[in-house]
Amino acid sequence: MDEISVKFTINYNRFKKKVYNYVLKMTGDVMLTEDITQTVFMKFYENLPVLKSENSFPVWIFKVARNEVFLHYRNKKSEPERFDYDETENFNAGSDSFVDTEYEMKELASILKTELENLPYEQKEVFVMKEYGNLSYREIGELLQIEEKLVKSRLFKVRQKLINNISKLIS
Amino acid sequence: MKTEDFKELINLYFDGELKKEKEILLFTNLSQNEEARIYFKEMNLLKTAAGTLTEEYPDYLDTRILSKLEDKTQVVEKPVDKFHFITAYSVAAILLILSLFLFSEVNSYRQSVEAMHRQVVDQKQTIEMLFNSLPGVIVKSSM
Repeated sequence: MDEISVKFTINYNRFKKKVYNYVLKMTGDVMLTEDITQTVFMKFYENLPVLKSENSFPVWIFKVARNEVFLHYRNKKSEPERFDYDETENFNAGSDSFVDTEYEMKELASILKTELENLPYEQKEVFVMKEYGNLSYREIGELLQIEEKLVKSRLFKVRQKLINNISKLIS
Repeated sequence: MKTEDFKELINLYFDGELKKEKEILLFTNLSQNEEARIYFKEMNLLKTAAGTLTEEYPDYLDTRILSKLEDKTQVVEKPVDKFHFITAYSVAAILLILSLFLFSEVNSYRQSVEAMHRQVVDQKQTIEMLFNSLPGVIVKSSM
């Protein structure tokens, strides 16, 4: 096995689940997700000899994945929604709105899934990159070409919104 | 501590981006502030719920991607192999021609050395004959 193949195998195993989950959450289509994941890793393999630093791998891989998702939307001629949500949501969660059983957790996960699907594209993207891509604020900022501060504030607001919506539904 | 501040600390903590020195501040605040504890629990719940939505990576996709890559590397390797074969054959042919040339050179050199050797032997015999043909020397005493 040559050096490139070893490097590829290590990073493929490191990122495959994250990329798969990121694309799946962004598209909601399993077959499309598989195709995009395959494209991402084929491109990664082709470009591996020219990629200098290993630190740049997560950003590079997710950039390709993100472009592929955008390409899908462009081909479908259905652009993702713009980032235009009300930033002044009030936090009003009840103190006893916690779940204990596995069944309740499944219910909660299903509510969260619906809430995620209803989020504007940019909000959903930041949340998915963090939760499923496990990227740092810096990496997300680099990917979205925004400042780290903005990443943080977007992420906190999305979470706040999700907590509020879920709390409303539970109560 | 303001509501927004402790919320930020909690978010940073869950994202693994809270500095160690600030953890004490967070936990002190959690022990004293009921609102912070509620938010912490809600964040924990959100994280857990988000975690349960993580899908497993399908095994067949592994096979699909890796076999596709294998095909690709084989296609890339073929011209490289052909190139190696051509180079190896050319080098072998050059070495063969070179060894034939060197063999003939060595052969002719050996023949010339043998001829010279023969000539030297002949000359030595001629010199010996000349010496032998000279009259013998008689040594007389002067006393």
